[in-house]
Amino acid sequence: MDEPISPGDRPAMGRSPGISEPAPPAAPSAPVRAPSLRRWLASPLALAPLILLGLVVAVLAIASEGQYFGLSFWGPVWEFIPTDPAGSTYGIALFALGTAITAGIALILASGLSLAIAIALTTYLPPRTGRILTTLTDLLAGIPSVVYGIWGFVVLAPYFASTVEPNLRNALGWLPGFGGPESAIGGGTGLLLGIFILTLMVIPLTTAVMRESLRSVPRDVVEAGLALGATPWEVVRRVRLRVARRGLWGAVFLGFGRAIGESVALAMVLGNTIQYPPSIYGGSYTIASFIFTQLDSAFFYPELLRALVEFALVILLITIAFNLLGQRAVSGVRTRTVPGAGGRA
Amino acid sequence: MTGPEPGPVGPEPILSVRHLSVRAPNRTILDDVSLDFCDREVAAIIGPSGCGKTTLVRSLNRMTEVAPGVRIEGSVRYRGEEIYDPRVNPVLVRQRIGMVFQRPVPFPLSIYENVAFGLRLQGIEEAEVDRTVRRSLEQAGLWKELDGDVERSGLTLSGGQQQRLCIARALAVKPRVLLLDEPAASLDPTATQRIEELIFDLRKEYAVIIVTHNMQQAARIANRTAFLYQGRLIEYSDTHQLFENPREKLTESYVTGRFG
Repeated sequence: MDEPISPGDRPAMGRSPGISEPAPPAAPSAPVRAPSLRRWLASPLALAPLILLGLVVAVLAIASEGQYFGLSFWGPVWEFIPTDPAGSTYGIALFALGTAITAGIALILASGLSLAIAIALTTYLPPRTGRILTTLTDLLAGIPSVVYGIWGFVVLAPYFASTVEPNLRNALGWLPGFGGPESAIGGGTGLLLGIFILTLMVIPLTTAVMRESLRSVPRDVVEAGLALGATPWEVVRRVRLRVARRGLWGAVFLGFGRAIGESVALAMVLGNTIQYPPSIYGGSYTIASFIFTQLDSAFFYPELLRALVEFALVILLITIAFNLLGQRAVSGVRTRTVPGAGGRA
Repeated sequence: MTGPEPGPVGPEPILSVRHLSVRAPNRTILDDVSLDFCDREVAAIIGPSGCGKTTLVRSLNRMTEVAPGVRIEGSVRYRGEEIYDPRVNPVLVRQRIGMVFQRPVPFPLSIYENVAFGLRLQGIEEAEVDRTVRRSLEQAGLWKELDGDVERSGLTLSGGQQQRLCIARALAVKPRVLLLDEPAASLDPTATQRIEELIFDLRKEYAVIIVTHNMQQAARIANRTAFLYQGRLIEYSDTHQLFENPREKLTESYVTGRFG
């Protein structure tokens, strides 16, 4: 920065480690103005993402031609190629169920694994090993989802069909959703593989956010725990997780936003079957993967296209909601939870 | 490590440091330091920034090894028992030799749970926890000040109160030695005075070892003072003697403010 920052522009420093001095009066900043032209240009820029988002929502809403939830939630049967598209109703429930199962279970698995990785990185692993593991998980994030999909379809699906699923059925067959007749196991694509792939795809994001949340726990607090005779694990459990809990929840929310939006990879491994899946081995659809796979036939059926646009709108709104939740939680990591800042009566 | 029961105060030091050296990968932080600390006394460690004061106290309850890549040589005996013996559990050492840090760091828990933290780790029964929490807060002068309102968050206290909460938390574990690493460095003068009064009281029951860069503070509260310079122990003697009649030229220049 080659120009002086006017005091009015400087963000309030978080805390002064020294004697808690009285905050400088707010008034002096008034006469010091940043160049007004720059400010004038800056504000629409700052709003740009919001405007863009609004436009996307608006365009989607218009494209659906006001057929808001002309798709009834419980349209129990989706006529795959409707004979009379104009008169059909389209139900979202089936796809919402597929989304909830894949994203929900994948998120639970990914969160657990990410938490374990993040704890290992911040507490147990020597720095060098930690850096390698960090690089590896971050690399996973860079793999295009179509690559995950083709790998799942070509490599994993046969293995799932021949080994993983039969074994799982034998071991957990008593559990609802894990049993069923032998014929329940098909070619390997289906919910189980979809969940597996989606878990892999979500892990980099949740791990990164959880890792940074745990890392942001001040060293002093951790050492204070150790100095009271806590073992490293007790410090993790009673101090680190507690101090970082907002960021950890943020990771879960952001991960969910990521998971429900995934379409390409899931379209390739989920078995694409319009059905209420009889078991974890059965084929399914998610809202996003359905949009992706149906786009070509939608050209011929304007009603279908509108319904798909509404599907997209649903996904978009849910994603926005979870990302907002996640970002709110994560932003708290930096500003809040700094215990011992002193003088905060 | 189950040390012997507290016996009469004798000439036997409670902590005895011999040839302690601490090395980081590219430099020596502490170089062959030997000294004894007595029970029921306040010992101050002074010296310019970076002289190894903090490392010395952190080495007395095995907190130095928390940082990776640090090598520790020499011996530290607590009541005759080697704390660096590989069979000794550092967790138990830290229960006997408590520590309070420079910055007040309450956990994001209630005041009560902050003090109970170490006790819960040891699985102590509820009634005993209750008594100990109260006694520790009384010792730290917080019980009366808070009027017994101990359910609110420890983070709502003022800086000075937070630091006394941290002292109460350390006392609750019933240590014999209390290490204080510049406990008043981030506090205003009034809060500092309260801490100093508290330390003065604590020496009736504990061995207190305090790191400070404030020489007046050392002179006010310490029975003995050690002067460290560039990782070496230059002089360790009775506080009055060290400040008024130092044996070493280097100590004299430091306490008269010629460098620092």
